[in-house]
Amino acid sequence: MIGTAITVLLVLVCAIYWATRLSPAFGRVFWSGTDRLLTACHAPEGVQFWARRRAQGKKAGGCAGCSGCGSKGGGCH
Amino acid sequence: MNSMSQSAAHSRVSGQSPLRAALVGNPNCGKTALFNQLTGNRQKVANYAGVTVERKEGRFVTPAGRAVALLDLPGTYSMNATSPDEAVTRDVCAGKYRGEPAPDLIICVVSATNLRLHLRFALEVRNLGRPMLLVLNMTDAASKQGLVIDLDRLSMEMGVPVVPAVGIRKGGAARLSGALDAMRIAPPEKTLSGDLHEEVRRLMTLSVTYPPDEGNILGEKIDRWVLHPVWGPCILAVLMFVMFQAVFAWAQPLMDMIDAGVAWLADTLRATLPDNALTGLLTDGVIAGAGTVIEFLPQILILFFWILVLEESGYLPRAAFLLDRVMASAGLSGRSFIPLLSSFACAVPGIMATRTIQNPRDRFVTILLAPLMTCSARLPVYALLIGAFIPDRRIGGIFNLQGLVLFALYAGAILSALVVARVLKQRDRGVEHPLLLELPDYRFPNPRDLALGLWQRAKIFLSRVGTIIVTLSVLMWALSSWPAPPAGAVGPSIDYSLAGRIGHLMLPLFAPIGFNWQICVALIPGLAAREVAVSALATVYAVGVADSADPAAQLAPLLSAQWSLPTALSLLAWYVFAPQCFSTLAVIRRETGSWKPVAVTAGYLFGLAWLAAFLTWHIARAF
Repeated sequence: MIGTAITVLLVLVCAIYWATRLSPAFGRVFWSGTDRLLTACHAPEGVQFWARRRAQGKKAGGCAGCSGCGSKGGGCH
Repeated sequence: MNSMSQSAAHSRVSGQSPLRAALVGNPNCGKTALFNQLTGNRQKVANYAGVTVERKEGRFVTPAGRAVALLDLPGTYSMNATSPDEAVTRDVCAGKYRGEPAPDLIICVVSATNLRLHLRFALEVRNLGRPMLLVLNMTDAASKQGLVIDLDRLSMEMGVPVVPAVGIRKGGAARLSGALDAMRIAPPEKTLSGDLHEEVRRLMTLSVTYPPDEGNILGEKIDRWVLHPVWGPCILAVLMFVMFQAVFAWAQPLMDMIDAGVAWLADTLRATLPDNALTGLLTDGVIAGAGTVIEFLPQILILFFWILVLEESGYLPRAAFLLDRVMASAGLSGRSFIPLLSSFACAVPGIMATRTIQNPRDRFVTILLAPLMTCSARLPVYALLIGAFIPDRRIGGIFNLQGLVLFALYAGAILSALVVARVLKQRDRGVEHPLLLELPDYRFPNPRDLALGLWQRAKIFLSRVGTIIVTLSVLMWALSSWPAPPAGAVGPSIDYSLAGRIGHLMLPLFAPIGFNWQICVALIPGLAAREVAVSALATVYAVGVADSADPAAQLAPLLSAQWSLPTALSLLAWYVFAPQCFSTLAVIRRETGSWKPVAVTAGYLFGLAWLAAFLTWHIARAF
């Protein structure tokens, strides 16, 4: 029983890892939800910060190597 | 520099804010080596131009306790930028870079062995009127060449402080760090409005003494052979050939050791843990998947050892020079060589390195071609299939047949890239692409840098195994294990699993090229990273075979027993072109700012892969 529970948990963790990698939008929703849950549960501040940082995600954009690529969605031209 | 920005710089320096310094200079003058020395970073360095294409930032503290925020900028020959990477340097120095204030201090790095070229750029930087420090790098190499440089005279004539450095030696940047404490952050005492070349000649005459016999140096003697129109290409072909032979010949003992370790771990887990789902996940999922891929670490490290030696020695730009005619015949610019070469490690940095190409059309074509270069992630797939299907025997008593096949796969990919380039550049026929290339001095590869480079590659590979491959192996195991077969079902349980159903759904598309449903299933996670195809195959076969004692070690014999030779060759042909991993497609999107090139790349690679596999399968079956 415990073995099955750990197996399901591991598979879920891996599935979430790939879902957040493949869809950053899902990742932001997921980590925002996790952040709210952790806050409601009065989890340690460090854990909340960890989830919050992931919820914010990385800013989209290009290499920032030159000006004027905003209209290109961050791509070089 | 105007008075306001100068006072701002002074206030930052006197206060708690770190001194913001930017490293600039010609390509391949050793900026990144100095950056790594000062900041303790490990950015990629190599003995050729165009390695740094983005700004990199690091921090360090001088001996007197002054905090410094150091920017490492792409190399450029002039402040008149012609490519995106050069524009980064120009904009940062001019204070026009988005979200980046002008640096308090510009540290201009010049190579002591090539002052005639590099001082010209230093004079351009000085003309910006910003506080500046001139670093004379590679002073050890200059001494070996017999060059004597009067630093005080050069400093006096330039009107800026000058310090010597050896970027590749431990402690080689100590005087630079100390100079930051001693110097006054102020604009240069002189600027120049006249002819820069004339000023360079004057500076050289006043501050540099040449050895009596300047021409008699080892590098020139070596170049007589290496750049020879006949011997040069022969030497290049032999080097490449030996590299691929070594991948198979040297790696086997280490691979056997890893294999034994993986087998021991699987046996121990099976003997220790109860027979339940968790044990199945650990042995058939994690160990079969990750263990199979990790075995190829020695081969990857041997390949990178050769590449690093060629990089460090200064041979690679010579190879670019030798191949320029071949690349020009396909309509490619000489500047495409380094990005395409980088793509042999991974297409992602290769595509980013196309920023050094000025012509937008050339850059676009190079981006489309980069995925055709055989990235290191494909090596485990090649090695597995070659090991399983190509006999380990000698040809002519010298050449290893497996190494020959690997060489042929790499050569096939390069030839295909040239053909694709020719087609894509059809419209540009007759347009000349002169290659201006600075050939660096030959250098004996530093063992520490080689060890560091190999360690970084091993770390990258192992972190991929620990994240991408382990997680996908777990998911693949779950898809191959669930749902359980219905009561009274006949046949292997994996046929009833989700993976089995997905594989059978894909089969109509891939059956004409000789693939079975297990290969079809492995192709999907292979889109995340090529080597995952190996771990996916291992997991699918481990779950499918009931008595797999050591699933990782059994994969090659299992494949050779269950697949025909045409199927294996067809899969090899598929992976020469195989549609790209997600990371490559994402970086194409980022670099081009459009989804169209992503769709074109994925589409044409899929088409080529399918066609090559189709032809290979049918031709192999005919014999």
